[in-house]
Amino acid sequence: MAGIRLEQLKKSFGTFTAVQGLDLDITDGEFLVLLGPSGCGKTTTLNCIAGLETPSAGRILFDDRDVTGDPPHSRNIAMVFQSALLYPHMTARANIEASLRRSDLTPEERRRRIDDAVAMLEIGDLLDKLPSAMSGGQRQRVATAKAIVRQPTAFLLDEPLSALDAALRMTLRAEIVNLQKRLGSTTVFVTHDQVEAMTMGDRIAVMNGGRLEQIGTPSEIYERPQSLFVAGFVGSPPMNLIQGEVADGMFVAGELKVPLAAAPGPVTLGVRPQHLHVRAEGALPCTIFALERLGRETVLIVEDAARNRLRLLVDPEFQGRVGDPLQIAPDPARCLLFDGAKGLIHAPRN
Amino acid sequence: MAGQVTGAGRTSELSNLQFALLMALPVLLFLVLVVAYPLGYALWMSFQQIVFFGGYRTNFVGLANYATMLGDDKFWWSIWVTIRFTVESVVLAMAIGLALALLLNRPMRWPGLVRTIVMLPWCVSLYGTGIMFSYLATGQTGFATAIAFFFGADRPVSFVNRQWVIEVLAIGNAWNMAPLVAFFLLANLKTIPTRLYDLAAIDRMSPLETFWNVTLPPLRFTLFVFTCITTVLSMKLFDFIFVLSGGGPGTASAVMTYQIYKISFRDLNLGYGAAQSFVLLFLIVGSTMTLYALWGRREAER
Repeated sequence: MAGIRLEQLKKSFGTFTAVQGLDLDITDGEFLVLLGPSGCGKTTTLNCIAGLETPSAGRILFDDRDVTGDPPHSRNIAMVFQSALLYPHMTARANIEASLRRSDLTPEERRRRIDDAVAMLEIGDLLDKLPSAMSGGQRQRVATAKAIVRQPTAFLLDEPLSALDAALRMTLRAEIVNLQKRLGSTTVFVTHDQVEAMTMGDRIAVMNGGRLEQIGTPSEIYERPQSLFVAGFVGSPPMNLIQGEVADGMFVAGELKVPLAAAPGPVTLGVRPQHLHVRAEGALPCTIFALERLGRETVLIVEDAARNRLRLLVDPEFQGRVGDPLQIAPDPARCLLFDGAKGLIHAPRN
Repeated sequence: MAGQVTGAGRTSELSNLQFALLMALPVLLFLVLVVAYPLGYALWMSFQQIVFFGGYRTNFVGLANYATMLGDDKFWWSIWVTIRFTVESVVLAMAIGLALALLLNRPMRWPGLVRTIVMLPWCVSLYGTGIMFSYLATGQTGFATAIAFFFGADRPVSFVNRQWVIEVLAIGNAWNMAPLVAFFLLANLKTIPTRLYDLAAIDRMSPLETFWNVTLPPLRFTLFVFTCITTVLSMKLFDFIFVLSGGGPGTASAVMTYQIYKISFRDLNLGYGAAQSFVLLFLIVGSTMTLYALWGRREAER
């Protein structure tokens, strides 16, 4: 186990810069999620940590050892790939053994580690099966066993759940976190799914366009997104972002007025769907665009006069039909203000 | 349901089998005409002595034609030449095909153009290939002579000789066949997820182990199929050999097809030729079945 530090990591492919000067400190035993849309550089970053890509500039340190130029196998990392990649012509057992074949362990130690991993992941009955004869979830378990027998310095997971169906994804999410906490191993988990990031990570590093947008605990990311990008990317349904300006201690966007103490100027107001409320009067007039009933709550999508769509969470008992007029207002104590260049400029105190 | 008839009152109705046979009748007739009849006729011929001079006549000689073979040195030689040519052709076609496929799978400029150029040898007829390789390999026009003269030699170098003619034939045959093999292998290579190579790197596999464990497995079934196809095509190959070496020099490249041609149409010993062609048929069927038993069955299980 070790901490991982990235210093000014850069990676370019030809004229395209995938990662531009990334600084990241992953502490020993931490579960860090790299979150971002496709093409944001998160997988490239993971490949650099693994040694599958050589950085164009910058350093990678495992504890205080510089591993920037080391090949993958000498870094003692383990990696689980998308759709739980295994050697397709090898049985589960041979796949797991392949992780240890170049180690200098004694045969007893080797067997003990494999037995432990097999017991931990409950895959005893899969050992003689080929990957093609297993389900997605079973392959995922075998791939995880293959990773943990190495007792690696760090686990690197590249969207391991993205090819699975929703129910299985939810089960495995919890299993991976549980396993990581039991093993206490430093883990970097790459995903574009903000739900996975929120539910699994000790900390989340949100990336966009090859840069780190924000790093923090899930609640920090959720409560105080430091940029418009993070605000819009994290949270489901997403945060409402309304462009307007502040004048005389009041945020104004068309007919919407929210009392907020901030410096005057053009800003974007951010408010989570659960902090937008239906009001009887004196608020922003809208019409209902769509209703999404989720059972526990209902997502109401409304359109204002300028055809901006906003989402709010309402009671499941909420009655309304598409086209119905209503008025909405945000909770001023829960509003965030963003400046395009400076990011978050106003947030409620908590 | 409309059209459903209760059994009573119907006089005749075709059973499923009868109906199927009726439907298949045209094809069966056609197959009898183009396969069974010639095959049966050849089998009949192989038990006859056929004489053309002094009037066409046939004498039944039983297994005499087959018995003659056992003591015929030229027959045994032709079997040996056929096997040597086939094995060399298959190994070369697979090796060249695999190498081409691996090269074509690398990122390159103008991939479509390169693929087209690589495919071209397959489009050349075997007759044309034979003429080309004959010019390439003989002393007066060959590339070996050109190279030797460049380095100051004063005698032409020919590969169409007793020692090397089979290899020249096998190379020409493989040159013609390899592009097709390469294209099917390339299609397989494209299905390998690139991340599997990353996994191999993390597992510290050497380049050879990576090839063996990542690259080769999806190719093995295709390799088996093309080994069979190339085996069959090589064993029954005639025009290419006829054009390139004419079975020579001497009998150096007298493969079974050439030997059968010579016996049947030059010596006009049709009965003996027919008997030998049955040996060739069994050699072809036997070798593909052996290939399947030793190799194909294992691949098909995966």
